[in-house]
Amino acid sequence: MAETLILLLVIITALAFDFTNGFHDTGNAMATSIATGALKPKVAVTLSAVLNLIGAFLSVAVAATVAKGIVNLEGVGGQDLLRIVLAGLVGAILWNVLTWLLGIPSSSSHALFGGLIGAALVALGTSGVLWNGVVAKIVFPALLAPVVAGVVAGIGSWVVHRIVATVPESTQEKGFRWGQVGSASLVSLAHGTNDAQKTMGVIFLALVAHGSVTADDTIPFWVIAACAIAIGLGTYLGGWRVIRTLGKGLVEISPAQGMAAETSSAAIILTSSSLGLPLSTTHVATGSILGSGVGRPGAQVRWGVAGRMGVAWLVTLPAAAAMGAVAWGIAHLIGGATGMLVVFAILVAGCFAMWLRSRRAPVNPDNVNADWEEGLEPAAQPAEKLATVTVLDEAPEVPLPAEDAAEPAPRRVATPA
Amino acid sequence: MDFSDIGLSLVKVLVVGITLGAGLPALFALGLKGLARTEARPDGTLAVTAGGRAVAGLAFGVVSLAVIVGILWIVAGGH
Repeated sequence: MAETLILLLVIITALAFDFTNGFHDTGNAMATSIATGALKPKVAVTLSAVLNLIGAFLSVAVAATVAKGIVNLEGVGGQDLLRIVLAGLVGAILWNVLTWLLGIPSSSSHALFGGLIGAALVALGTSGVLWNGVVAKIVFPALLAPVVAGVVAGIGSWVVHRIVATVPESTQEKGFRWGQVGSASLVSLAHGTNDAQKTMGVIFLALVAHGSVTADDTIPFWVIAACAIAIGLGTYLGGWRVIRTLGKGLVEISPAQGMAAETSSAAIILTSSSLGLPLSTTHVATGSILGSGVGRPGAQVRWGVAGRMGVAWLVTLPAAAAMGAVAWGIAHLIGGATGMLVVFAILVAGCFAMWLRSRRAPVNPDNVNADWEEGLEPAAQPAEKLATVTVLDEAPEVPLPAEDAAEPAPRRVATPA
Repeated sequence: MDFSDIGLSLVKVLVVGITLGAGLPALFALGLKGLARTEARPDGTLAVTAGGRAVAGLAFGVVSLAVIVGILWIVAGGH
């Protein structure tokens, strides 16, 4: 009974991770189309969600080997293995939700590997982690992915802008809308195909540990379907904070540039995964958007935002690892199913707290494209509502001279998007 | 996979990336440029020239083909 409960808990947590993976990465494909107005925000996330859902069914080629070469879990099984997997997932989800709250597009794969590495490290010692694999499969590609993507998108953006410089605005707008939607759709499909498999692999690992299937079995269809639905729902929710940073924060995006960025992302993601080089979709997409800005004559890139993102990428692996390690420690100290339930409760509480914090200044389809001058969290309220708030805030207690009272200075000026 | 493999893969990704990732948008842009080649018809309205249409057709055709191949590539699990 306890074993089944633990397995169920791990599966639910894995699907929750898949869900965060979905909303964290919606922006990789759709931020540019949303920012340029090629697609309405809701239409964009719906299209991306459907393509992610379809993509998840297309391939399970690498699912079974998701953590191979990074953590060494061969010596453990049963509840010990389930505890490591659960702790790793908890670390990954907490990091994903935190970076979403901060509007930072960080790699979900890095978070997942980080969580698993942290949990394996405290559970099994240094022999639980294959350091060569970590450097070769995670650190090295992470440093190079944005550079490669940036170069390709930069060249593409520069060439395209040169070619269409004399083309009338209306022809450009209509044409590049199709170009953007097409290229962004390819990125969405590739994302569903690549990323949903990681969760399938984790669930499969848990099923093997529980003894429900053997390592040689194929992945049960319900696992594939559940992962596809989870990533699709997550994508549909749309991580508006991340979308906003990618679409408005890094650089102002022109339609031609949006197409160049997404085509670069699609080409690099597909080529690299066919060569077995695990480049993160997030790193590629961000590098592409940045590069397309550098390549566009006259575009202003906000290097401060890019720098903050770079720091978050460096921190992702160790931070998720630390959270995974702590989660494992708590589950281990309390022990058994109770320990895992406690860790799960901490996860739920942590996510709920961060969600509550996000509600204070929500980013949603209505204000996702607001001017970046207002920062990540633009004032969402209509002007008259904001004015009421301002009056309530400042009018009653502050005795102001009459001429000033007539025009109270609002702390924030709302510009309806 | 060791570092020399990774280095080689990266070079390949860069080459293919520039060819497709930058080449296809450039081709698409050429197609749009073709559509912008207009001439005045006898009745005074503007229409795309025959040459412009041919350029656009060719460019968009190749781009569409590349996209279809890309999708088949994903579906076939070639990634």
